[in-house]
Amino acid sequence: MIWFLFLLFTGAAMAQENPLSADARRDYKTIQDYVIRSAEKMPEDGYAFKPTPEIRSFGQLIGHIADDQFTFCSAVKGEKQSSNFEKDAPPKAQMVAGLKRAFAYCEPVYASMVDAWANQQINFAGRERPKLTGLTFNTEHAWEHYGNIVVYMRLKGLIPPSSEKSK
Amino acid sequence: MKFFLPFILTWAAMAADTAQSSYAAEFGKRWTATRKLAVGVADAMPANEYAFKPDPPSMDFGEQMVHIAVINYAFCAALKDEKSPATAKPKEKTDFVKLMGDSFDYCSAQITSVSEAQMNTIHSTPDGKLNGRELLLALYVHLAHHRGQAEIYLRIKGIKPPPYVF
Repeated sequence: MIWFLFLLFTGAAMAQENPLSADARRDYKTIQDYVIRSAEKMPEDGYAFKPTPEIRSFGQLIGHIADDQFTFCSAVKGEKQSSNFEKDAPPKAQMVAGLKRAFAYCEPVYASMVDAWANQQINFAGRERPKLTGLTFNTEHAWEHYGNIVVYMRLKGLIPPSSEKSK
Repeated sequence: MKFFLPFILTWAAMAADTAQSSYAAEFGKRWTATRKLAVGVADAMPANEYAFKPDPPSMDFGEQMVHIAVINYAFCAALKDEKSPATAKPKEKTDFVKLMGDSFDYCSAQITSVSEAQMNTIHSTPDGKLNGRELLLALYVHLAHHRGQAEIYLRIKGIKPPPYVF
């Protein structure tokens, strides 16, 4: 009886192994998909478009998201990695390729994430925070900029990927 | 000892379930920080521009604010399987700003008192069936997605949004 209860409890615990990380990984996949599809959908000449002169062009916005993948994921990984896509604002083909490389750099960091990271502190964005928060912040920050992208696309007469009808 | 072990294990499991969720406590800190930006965005748009929209299919600025607030309420009520509180339709800018702030305060109260068991339960949310952790992520990204749009509305009107806080 005792062994049965023991197995029952440990079995349930194993089934729920790393649920926090699994949730966070799913959400990252969604935003990656929307940002890459936005970058692909915007025509080349739209990359220099900005709704108002003081702010980032569409290309710089995509570059900013790409740069942040290196900045935030390397901070979580304990490495120093950076890129200059926002500053350099390369043509569309190079920007899309760079964006994909940036997400690909983060991918293994998200894949290696475990729930124990919720209790490990790292210095991130100016203060001590749980390592897990570094990655969920990266996801949320990308969503905020995807919100910017949506308006740029609408102003160019394009339907953002999140509003496209599923086929 | 053998006799007591099942009771000890059951008690330990129950105590863990009713304890406050540490994940939610950490999330609550970020929620409080991000309230400042969301309310700041609502406050930054002049009253006479609340009906502004950059293109016809989009929500206007006021609709974006109401959408964020109403969905905040809906997600945070769902966290404890409660009914979302009724909200009055805002008329004046001050009503919109208050609605936004109130929705954040309501969420803060729900988030800081949610139990570990409620975090692990599946809830009916505006994004379908989600557990408590997925719900909090969905709440945050929904806010970010619409606030990100509203920030560009402000820029088009020549207004610099409040600084990003984290």
